[in-house]
Amino acid sequence: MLQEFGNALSFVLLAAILPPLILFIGKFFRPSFPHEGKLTTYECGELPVGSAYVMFNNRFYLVAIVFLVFDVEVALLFPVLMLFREAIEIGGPAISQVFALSFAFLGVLFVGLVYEWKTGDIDWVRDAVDRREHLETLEKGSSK
Amino acid sequence: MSLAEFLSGINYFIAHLFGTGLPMAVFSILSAVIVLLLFAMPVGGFCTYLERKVAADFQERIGPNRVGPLGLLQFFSDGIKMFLKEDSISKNADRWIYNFAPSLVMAGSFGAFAAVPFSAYMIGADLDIGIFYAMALGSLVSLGVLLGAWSSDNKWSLIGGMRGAAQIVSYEIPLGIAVLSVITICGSMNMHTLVAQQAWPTAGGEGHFWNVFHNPFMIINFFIYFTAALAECNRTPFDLPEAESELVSGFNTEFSGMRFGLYALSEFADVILFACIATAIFLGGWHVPFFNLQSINLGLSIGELDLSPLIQSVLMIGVFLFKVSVLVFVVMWLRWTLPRLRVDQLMNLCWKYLIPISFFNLIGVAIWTWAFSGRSMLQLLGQLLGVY
Repeated sequence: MLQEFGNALSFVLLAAILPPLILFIGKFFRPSFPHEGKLTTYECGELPVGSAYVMFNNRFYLVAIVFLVFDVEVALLFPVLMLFREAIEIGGPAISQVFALSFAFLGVLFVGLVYEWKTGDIDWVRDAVDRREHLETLEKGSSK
Repeated sequence: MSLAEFLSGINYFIAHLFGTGLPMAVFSILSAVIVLLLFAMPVGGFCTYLERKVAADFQERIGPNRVGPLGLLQFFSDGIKMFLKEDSISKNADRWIYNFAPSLVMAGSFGAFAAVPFSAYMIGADLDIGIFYAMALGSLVSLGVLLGAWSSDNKWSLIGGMRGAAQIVSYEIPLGIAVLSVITICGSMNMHTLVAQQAWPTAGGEGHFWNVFHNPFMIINFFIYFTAALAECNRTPFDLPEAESELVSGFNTEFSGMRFGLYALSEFADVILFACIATAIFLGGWHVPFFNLQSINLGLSIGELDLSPLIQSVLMIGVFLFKVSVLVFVVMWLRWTLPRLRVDQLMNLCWKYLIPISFFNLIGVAIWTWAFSGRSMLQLLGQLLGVY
């Protein structure tokens, strides 16, 4: 098994050293005439306005947190569901245990997803949703 | 058997000539060189040509036809051009991360090729956690995209990179659950075992035919996998990170010359990688219907060295690459068929459709596997008809 991990490592290392290697060899062939205009940040030919390191929409932040929970869950389910076939072959209570364990686990997460859905945390454009809800409540009010 | 072990068959001749063989490490590096430099890179480069040609065909144009016969050497000349281009780095860029990002992207998309089973004897690394390894390395790409975008201090790049990261991490979940259902069926994460189980079903055999036809849920799962993989590779209709009509070039705006070339190459390598994995875990890898290629034995040999694995390998690689190229063609086809999604539609599709559907699919697959003791539709049909 160690040999196989060695093989995998040789793939990753080769892939990782390729870009610096290609760029290093290219250094001897390519021209290099830097000047002020070339070295500014590209902003469609205009002079760049300020830095790009600004306060940023935290939608991205929320997606990252939700992703973290889900992905850890999926990663943890891998070894459990791998035993599913084996549990069928063993028979008896093993199979129902694996089934109950993994899907209780998945069920908790699914409840979380439904909650996030209800509170609108997975809506990308929160404002639009709020506006739609506002319109819906207005419509309800008028139909009364 | 891994490619390195397969190659170490050469050791037989070397030991014969020089009296002593080479260490195994030489062959593991050689296998990486063969798969990456002789397969992934040229095919990735060829895909850039193919995409232009396919686009031209869809739009009734001729496409590249100047460099070499039918323009076949176009990607080669593009590569040389990028190699010779000036490498200009904006002076505001965060140099360390900027230089490091292409390596990360390449390590992610090319490193995962180690787990691709091209034939029964040719897999870069025959890991017991093969599919897990491929998915883990595949997600390095999102890190590379985000770091490259952030370090270039450009607003277009930043927006593109942030979108890319949000998109790739979101679609990682339906992708993971689709893969999880395959593992539920096969009970292994070893790529070789996963493919070997998809042989044409015979009496007393292990095979249950291609996973995509295992049960009705798996067909849906394959579509979920394919959609999520498209998003992971930033391909149209999910090419928001580099939406050229709104973000100039997205996350790679500040990358010039060969650095851009490396990003473009690894993007195509990503497409090929996902096509390879989809082929291996859903479309039966090297298996063809009605027949098992591994039963071919012509009885040829050089001395003590049996040649039948080599002959089988050639056939298997042919079948495998045929399936991969069909999938890659579909990806290119979609680019000229579907318009780009909006960013909120993209997130809705993932969180409100793909994830719930894949959850229920996983439960469905588990119940099917439980109810029929892991037998597929085809095996059940065979039993019903009394074929075996």
